[in-house]
Amino acid sequence: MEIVVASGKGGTGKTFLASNLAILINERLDGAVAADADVEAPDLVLAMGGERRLLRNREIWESMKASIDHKLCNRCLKCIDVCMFDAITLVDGRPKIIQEFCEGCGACGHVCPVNAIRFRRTRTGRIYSVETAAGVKAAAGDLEIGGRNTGELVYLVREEAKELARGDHVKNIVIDSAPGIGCPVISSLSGADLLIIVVEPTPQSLKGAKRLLRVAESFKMKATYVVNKFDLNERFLKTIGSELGLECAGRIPYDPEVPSSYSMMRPIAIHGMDTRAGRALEEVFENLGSWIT
Amino acid sequence: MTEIISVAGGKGGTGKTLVAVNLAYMLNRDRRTLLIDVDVDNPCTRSFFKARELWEKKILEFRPKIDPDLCKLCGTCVRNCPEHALVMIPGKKVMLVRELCAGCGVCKLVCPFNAVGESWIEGGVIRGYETEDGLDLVVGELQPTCRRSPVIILKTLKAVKDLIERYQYVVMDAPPGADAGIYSIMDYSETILAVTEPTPLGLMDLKKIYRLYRKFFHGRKRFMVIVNKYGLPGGSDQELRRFLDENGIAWTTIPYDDLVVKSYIAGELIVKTHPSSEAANSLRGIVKLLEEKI
Repeated sequence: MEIVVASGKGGTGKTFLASNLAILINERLDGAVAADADVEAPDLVLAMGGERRLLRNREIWESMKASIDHKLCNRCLKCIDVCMFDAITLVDGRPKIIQEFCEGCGACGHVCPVNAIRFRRTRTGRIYSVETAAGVKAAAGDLEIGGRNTGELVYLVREEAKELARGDHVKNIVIDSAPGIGCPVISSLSGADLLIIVVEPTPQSLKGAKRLLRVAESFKMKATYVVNKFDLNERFLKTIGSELGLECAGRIPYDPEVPSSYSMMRPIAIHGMDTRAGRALEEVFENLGSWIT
Repeated sequence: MTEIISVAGGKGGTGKTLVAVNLAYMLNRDRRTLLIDVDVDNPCTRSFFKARELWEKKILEFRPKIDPDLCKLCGTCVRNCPEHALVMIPGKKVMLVRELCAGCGVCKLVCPFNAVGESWIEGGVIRGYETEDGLDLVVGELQPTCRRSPVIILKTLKAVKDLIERYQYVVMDAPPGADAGIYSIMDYSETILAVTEPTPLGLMDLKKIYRLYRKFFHGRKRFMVIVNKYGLPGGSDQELRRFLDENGIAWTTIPYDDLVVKSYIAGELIVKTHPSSEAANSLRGIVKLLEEKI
């Protein structure tokens, strides 16, 4: 089963919950593999105590980019009109493709009457898998800086995680999603089994959670939520409950042991189950028991 | 001359919005300022102001509409769709998988029978506001279930292009991450403020946004790091400081302060409600740095 930890808003504690949940499921249920689907800011391995051993690493060159051969270009400018992504601009009377905005869709190539547009593959990023210091295997991706195609890379991270899981006869995959509701998040949710929304007791975080839930509903997936740092604003818990309309899987208090566990690379699920955050994690894990088959 | 400042940072939840709203409010007291919220996945700046909506502009995205009477099931569109969003149901029809479609329009261009028509959906919306403090605010927002955040960011920036010369300062609140959307925001600005926090995760993501800056904008734009939650109990201030100093990056701090969290939750500007707090002091210091550079 694929469990996605996501949030809508950034910095609510997705990586904290995903990393520790993967460790707990791995130790106490039939094993788990972790997948870092935040390819723009891949931190999951770090949160699991770092890398013990690199298992696999491969470069992904799937991003197509257009360029114009100016010896052939007759400056009809049809390509500018047809590009839906504003990736072609006029510079000194000539069309110029801004590489960072180009989606590589090929539309310009189809309308060019003189065949002046060429396409080449560029680096999308890399996909790798490691054995973490916490003992859990993890798949992760790292997007080329300034890159697009985040959805493609997330898809490949999930495939890599499935392969790890198959190899070790493990049933559960915990996916740490990117913040937001865009391409990488949709790619994380598509076809997954359970969504855990991490929400902080702030209006800004609730707004993100609600937007995320609208996306999840389009996939008709099961969803629950966990409130992180709930004691910062306890009055807000009721509002969260009524506005999300989901069953709550637990509440985690603010605990300085959490940043400290990152700094020392000692995950709470291994070294800190007796802390406030650890005890709350224990509860979340128990509550999720009925969801995780 | 307009000075455009973007507030980015790589990791989520480091305090980008906190910095952007407070800076914009302070800058606007002396010089006309525009705040642009380009965190299109979850724009939150609006919750810090009492504001009146002035205008709205919808961002439309193309979706194919296949005419079954004209379609000969030749499969040209299916083969050419870069997102694999068109599926052939043999002998029946070509089906569109809405979640996958990027709206590029290639299917319409390649169809030999003119069977692909146009439909337009709302991929996002841009709204202009005036706040009660006289600060102008533009918010770009991605429509939930649509996926092209970088496109909505770019369209928002294009929509305000003719407006910005009216302002002395433009402050942009960027989303987390380091993708093409962040590239276009950095490309648009002269000064990049990267907000981070003293944790290994904050440092890791800061390194990525710094690499983005180095690769495309080094020497052309200013880059300054703001370490928010400085002195966070259990945090890793030292490692962060070492990275910043080794790379000769200009940086400043906002101390860890409960009042920051409280005013954030209440949707208040800390420089307004707690002007004598340490955090407000730091934010005023950042404004001074920005003003001195003009």
